[in-house]
Amino acid sequence: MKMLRDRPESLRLSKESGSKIVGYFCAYIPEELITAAGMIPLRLVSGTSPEAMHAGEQYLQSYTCPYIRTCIGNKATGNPYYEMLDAVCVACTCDGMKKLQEYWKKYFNIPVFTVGVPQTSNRFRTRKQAIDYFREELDDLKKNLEKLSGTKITNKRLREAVRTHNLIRGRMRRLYDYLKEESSSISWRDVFQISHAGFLVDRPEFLKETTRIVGELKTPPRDEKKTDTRTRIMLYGSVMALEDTKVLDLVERARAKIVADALCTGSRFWRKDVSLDGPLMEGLVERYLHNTPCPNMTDTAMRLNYVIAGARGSHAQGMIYYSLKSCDTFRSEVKIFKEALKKELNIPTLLIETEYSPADIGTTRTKIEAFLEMLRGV
Amino acid sequence: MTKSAQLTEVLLDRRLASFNRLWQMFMESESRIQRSGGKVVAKWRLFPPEIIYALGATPYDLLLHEGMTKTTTKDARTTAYAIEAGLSADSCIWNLTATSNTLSKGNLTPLNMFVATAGQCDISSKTWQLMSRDMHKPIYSMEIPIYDAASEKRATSFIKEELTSLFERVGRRFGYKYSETNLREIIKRGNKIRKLLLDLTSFLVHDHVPMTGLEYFLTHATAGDYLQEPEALTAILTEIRNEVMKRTEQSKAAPGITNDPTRLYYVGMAPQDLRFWNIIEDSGGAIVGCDTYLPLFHSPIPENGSLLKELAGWIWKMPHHMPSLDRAKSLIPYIKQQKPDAVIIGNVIGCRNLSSSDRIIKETFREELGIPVTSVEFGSSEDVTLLEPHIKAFIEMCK
Repeated sequence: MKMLRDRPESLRLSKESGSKIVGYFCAYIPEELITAAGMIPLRLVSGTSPEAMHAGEQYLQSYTCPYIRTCIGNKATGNPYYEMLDAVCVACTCDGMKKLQEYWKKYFNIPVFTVGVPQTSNRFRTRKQAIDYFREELDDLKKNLEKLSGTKITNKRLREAVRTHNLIRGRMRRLYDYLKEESSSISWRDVFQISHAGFLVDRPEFLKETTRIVGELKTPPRDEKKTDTRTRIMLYGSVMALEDTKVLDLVERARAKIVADALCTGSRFWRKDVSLDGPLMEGLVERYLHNTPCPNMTDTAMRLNYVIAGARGSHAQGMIYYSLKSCDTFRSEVKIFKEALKKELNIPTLLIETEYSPADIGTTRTKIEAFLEMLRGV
Repeated sequence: MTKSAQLTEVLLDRRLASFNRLWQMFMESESRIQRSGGKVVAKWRLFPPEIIYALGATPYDLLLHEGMTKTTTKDARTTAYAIEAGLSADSCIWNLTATSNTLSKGNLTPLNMFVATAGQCDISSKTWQLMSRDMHKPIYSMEIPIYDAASEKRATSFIKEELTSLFERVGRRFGYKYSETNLREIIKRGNKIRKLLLDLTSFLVHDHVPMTGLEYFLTHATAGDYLQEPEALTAILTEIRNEVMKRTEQSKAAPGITNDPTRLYYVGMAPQDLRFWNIIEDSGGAIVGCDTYLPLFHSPIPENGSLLKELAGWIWKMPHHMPSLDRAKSLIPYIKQQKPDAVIIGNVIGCRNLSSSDRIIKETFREELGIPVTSVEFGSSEDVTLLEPHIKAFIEMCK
């Protein structure tokens, strides 16, 4: 985490030496393109401060997604990461993201590159028009990034970037695999923090660091296994910021542990590589359009399969469905997931609908404790 | 008028005889689709109804007819069924009530299919999926990509392919073969209604505003599905136009509108409680235009050339689909034309789409129109009459 603590200063130095920094919010932006243009990608999911939330409400109503409000509020309040940006890329996925790019364009004086993302595409019932459209949107993003950086994204540069990012994804998947073990030597909290570090720190450095961590992790000897009796929980739901540890803290305090997630700031982000065979831009389209989709996309079945497989593989005893208030896309699917998990794996689901504010910590604690007691048969 | 949908506590302009017929037709939409015997497709409010008519089916503007529970005495468990189905209690109240009403009917619903519009309003798209799942009715999602002037070519090509695919897939299911000639005729018929609605809007420009806000709102909302009978609607709208024109020629204002009222243009989501429109007139104002359903009739759909391509281009340029700033700018000519003294922006608590544009829209109108602009919010529990002091103070300030 030292890398993460030192990151604002190292970014400042990089910027002083002429590097450009490009932020993005949603997992549908291929950060390989930013890397290939010789710029520094930052995925902006940190910062849940009340000041930023309050500042965001000067632009958007209080019944808008708190993450979206924070993404505006962080810029308005001078969050150091946001202050160093030379441009932002916004994938126009949910209503919140669409509004986010509008407010950034109108009120903050930096280039905003929008990328239209088809919502109805499905790997098995692909609409060619959706692929063609997304491909052209990425071509435009590529051109905009080239113009901003003054560096042409050659095939060689893109291949190198894809290779680095694929390696990082591979390392991160290994870390998530360790969590599934009965007595993992790494906690979900650690992996979650590493995942967030991967959104911000220098990518080659991050690759080295994750390679080192994976190398150090050893499967515990057989006699050390099955000593951990904590209740195993899978976490799924809305985008979860680095500082948003309310649910995690409460789960841990109640003697349970998270063993898997299907978050876009967690395992879903690191899933699926970009193919290095064939045209690379098409590989990007394939990877980003057909990765396990966000609920903004209409393909519920693929999402559901991923969550069920994650819960099964990690031997989760229950699932916490985390929905940020006003995140309609996640919230509206809770019943579907609840019923499917019960039917397929006979495990119950707890819905936690919350904000970044600590105001609901008492009720959230009660819900989680009651859920865990029910799982333990107390 | 059906038993299940009667009007409560709303003042209608009973002297506008033809409007009373329209109102009757409006309130009978639900029983009409039950009787229709044909295929009925639930559509999102701003999805062009021509597309569904061209599939040989009947469109039903679900949010409008099933969501207006606050004014009608529909037998509804307000939002309970929707929350049970998975929606959050703080979602858009139009979606909550419309979903709840629809689900409460269970197998008795006359709906045969849901057509969702992906890319325009997340919660509507999601509620359509939920209803389809719970009611075991098929759903088809047609996607409209984000508006960006630089991507017009690929976006319209995308929409054209979506239309083609919809006509193929749904047509196959309904046993109906798409024909461009048929679509052209349906578009022509719809354009007649568009022209009538634009004519009616133009009468509101006069100093003596000849229609009340409530009558105008309900009339322009018929653009959602043409009340399932486009020919009958055309006949009634023609009569309304003639009656209103007569008032205009006689320099007569609609009953209830004061002399020299504050002329107000209404932008945004509509309240479920129709008494809101009465409050405006009771406070000394008069509605001279409204954009809630304007995107469906702001201009005719081209009737010539490559029809699907033209229709795709028209859909892409519907104002509500644009980002807030573009939407505000595209509305300005329509607003200016109506010569308002001020603008009221309506937001619905829980709406993450149009209502989240409030600040940009408000600032753009203030800068470009130079007239007062205020916002009102409609929630799920508040009595709309609580807004009366706000409306009164705003109108007083405008005077």
